[in-house]
Amino acid sequence: MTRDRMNLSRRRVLALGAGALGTVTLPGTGGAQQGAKPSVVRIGYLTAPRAWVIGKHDGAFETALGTRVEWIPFPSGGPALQLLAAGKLDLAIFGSTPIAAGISRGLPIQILGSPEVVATSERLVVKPEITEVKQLEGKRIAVAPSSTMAFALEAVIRINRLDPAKVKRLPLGQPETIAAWKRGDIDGTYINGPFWGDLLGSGGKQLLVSGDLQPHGFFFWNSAVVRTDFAQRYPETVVTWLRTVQAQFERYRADPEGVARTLAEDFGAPFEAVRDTLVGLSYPTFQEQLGPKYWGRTAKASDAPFLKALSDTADFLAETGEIKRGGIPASFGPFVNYDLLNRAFPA
Amino acid sequence: MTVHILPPDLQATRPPPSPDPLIVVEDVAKRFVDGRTGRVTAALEHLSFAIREGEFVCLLGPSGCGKSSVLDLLCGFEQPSAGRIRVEGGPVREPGPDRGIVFQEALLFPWLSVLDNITFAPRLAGVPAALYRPRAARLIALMGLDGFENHAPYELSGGMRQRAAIARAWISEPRILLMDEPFGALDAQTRLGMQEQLLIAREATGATVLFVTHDIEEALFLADRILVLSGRPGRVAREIPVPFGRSRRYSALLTDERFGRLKREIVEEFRAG
Amino acid sequence: MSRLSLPHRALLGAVSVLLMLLVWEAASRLSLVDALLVPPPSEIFATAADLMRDGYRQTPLWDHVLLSLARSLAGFGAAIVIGIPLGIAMGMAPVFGALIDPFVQFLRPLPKLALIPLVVLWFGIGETSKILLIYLSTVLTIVVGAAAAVSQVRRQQLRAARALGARGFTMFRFVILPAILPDLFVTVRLAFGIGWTTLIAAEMIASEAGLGWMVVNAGAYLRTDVVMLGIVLLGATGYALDLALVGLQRWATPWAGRS
Repeated sequence: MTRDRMNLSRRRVLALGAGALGTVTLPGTGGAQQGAKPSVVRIGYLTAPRAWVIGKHDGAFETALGTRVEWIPFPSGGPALQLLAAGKLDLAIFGSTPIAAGISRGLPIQILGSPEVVATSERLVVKPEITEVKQLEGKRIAVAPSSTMAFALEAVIRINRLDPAKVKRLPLGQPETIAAWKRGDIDGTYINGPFWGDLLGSGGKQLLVSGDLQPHGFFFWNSAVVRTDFAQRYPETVVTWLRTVQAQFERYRADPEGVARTLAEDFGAPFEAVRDTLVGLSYPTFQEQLGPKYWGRTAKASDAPFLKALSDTADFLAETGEIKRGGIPASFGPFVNYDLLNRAFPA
Repeated sequence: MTVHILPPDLQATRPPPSPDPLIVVEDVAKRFVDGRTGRVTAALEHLSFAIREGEFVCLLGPSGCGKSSVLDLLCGFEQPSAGRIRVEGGPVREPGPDRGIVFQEALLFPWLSVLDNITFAPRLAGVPAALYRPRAARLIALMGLDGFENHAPYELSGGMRQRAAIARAWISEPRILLMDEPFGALDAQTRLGMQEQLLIAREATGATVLFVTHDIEEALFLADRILVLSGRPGRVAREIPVPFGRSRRYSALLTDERFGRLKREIVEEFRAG
Repeated sequence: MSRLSLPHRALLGAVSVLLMLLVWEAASRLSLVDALLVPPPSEIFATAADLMRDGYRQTPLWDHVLLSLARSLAGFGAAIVIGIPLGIAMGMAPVFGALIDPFVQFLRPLPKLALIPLVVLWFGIGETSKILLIYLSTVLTIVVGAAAAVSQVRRQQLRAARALGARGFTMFRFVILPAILPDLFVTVRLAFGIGWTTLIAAEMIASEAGLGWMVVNAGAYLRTDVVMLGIVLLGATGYALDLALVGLQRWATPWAGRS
């Protein structure tokens, strides 16, 4: 697992380098041809248990799309951005924070809703002597860089008016976080499932979950994303993919235990941890996502909560110095492909 | 090449020569075992000779006849497989200050100046500078290295490097000088100058010299006595006293009919060898 | 082949770099390359100016450079202090060498990235682990280099020294040590290159600052301008240190390669 992560991070450096050296953009993809079909569709997924990935197990996507499917794993949002930038991915589902960063950097991608909303799948786990958020000051908290968790931790600091300089945030991957926890090097971590399973099993105490931040206006979710040129060239494929993603979530709703069991086997993690991770996300249908509580049905709905949340995320990233303020769009509305969403899920 | 006038204090201040030979080699063999094949090759077999104090002896033989092995034994780098070696009446276990050694290459220490190379041995032995400094200065003059004391070895010509190496071996005033083809790598003209200088220096110090070479003319020019070695395994095939006396000039030697005759004899010996 | 004078070479080098920057800038302006993947030099200069003013992620730019430098020099310095005596001991005492050799040969080609989880488990996520990783990546190269240097001292040179009375410690101190010095410098330069490369891996362990960390973190946010700037700084700093080592080498072993 750890070794795999290392290889991946090396690969992402290589991919970036190769992209930087050799990529010459091919403009003019010829416009959308009705019914044009790619020979292969490259789908990216996070290497953590995700309900829709059940479709990888039995070839549901191949069947629906009628093409070859290449499944490309990434350990977190950062590498996903790099793979998209290097043109190695067509479609993917990953976190709102890296998506806001990518679009602000000019990455040519479009957002297709938010099929996974983080509730209890990401948790702030601390040593038992820490009983309230105020006590985080002066403590060392590990968090994966460029992740929704990193943003969530900042949100916790802001909501509770902690002194940001006093909370020592250590950028650490999940396997290293667990090692550091066992050695007592850290006082806590904001971490996703199933990794919190280990920590809770060894004396860790759950202080809060990301869902607790929603009343304060902080939303963390995973969006479906498509490369802009792919969406222009193969709109039908994107529509079919969205419907197939939806179908996978329906499978999960019908049989959560069964899906968790299969994913646990594929992922090599304990069944209970996978089940609890999957339960920790909420899965609004695309019909719901296109409603007023999420994205609305047109780009003009710039007061849609999730569009606003994306702007907040980008502002936060600019404040911490990760992205340039000048790159943040006035509204993220134009970066949501409402056209394809409406075609896939008409009102 | 300038010929240097010898300072009187470089003259040997030693007890008069003893009648016993200084170096005795008796029925010596040197065999090597190939570590991989286990095969034994003999470099020397039934080698015997003796050298008296003050003699200049050349060990002459074709390449690969084991000449260098003889020197390794006398230096104490190697031990004989059979037979007996005595230097000054005792066995040879390791190199010592009584024997100065000059190799085919100068093997100066490149990180030391010429002066520091020459004075390496006395400095290592803790000899006071007041003692070795004047000796070094005289050797530098004798070897024609004036003005190069503070040069690095790589700034010298091949001949100068070899002269510095001789000075380095000679500074401890060894009774015996063992020289392994010391001029082999030099051009003909430089070599001639070096040979003449060696004779002068040897005359001044009265040292005993065992000089290994494959060059017949060099041996005839330098030696009081030549030991011609046979091909491998080496042993003394012939002993030739050289009749030219001590003060030699190369030009005079070339016109001496004995020079040509002896050279022919040795060539014949090599051919038969 | 005729050799160029030093100012001549420097001039040609500068012209070539300038030309490359111009072509690069033009390619970006004309949209021949994607500015997201290959930001033009002007953007990198602008980013450099920004970071010099505001720092990167709350840390001044030069602190990133200095921190990385301090980490690698600490690891690398420890590798020299431990590796050179160990290597020399291996080279001088063949029995000791044979006892240690299997471990050295096993560990040396091991990708040091594979050690990160163990290093974190054993030594935590503090500076120790980062320095240790750089130490581990360089020490074995130095050990092997020092042992090889000793074994390459010529037998005839040692014999000449023995004939002049050098034995044991004096042989080591006055003959072997100076004789291997040029080879040691080559080894140390080689090892420094490796150590500097390992910096990125080392700074992946829970860093909040440092050039390697800056490159990895900026990459996660697609800040290719910061990545490129980081690479330029990594390259320039490494180059400057290598030049310093070459200078030291010329000063300490003027005879190297000339005898």
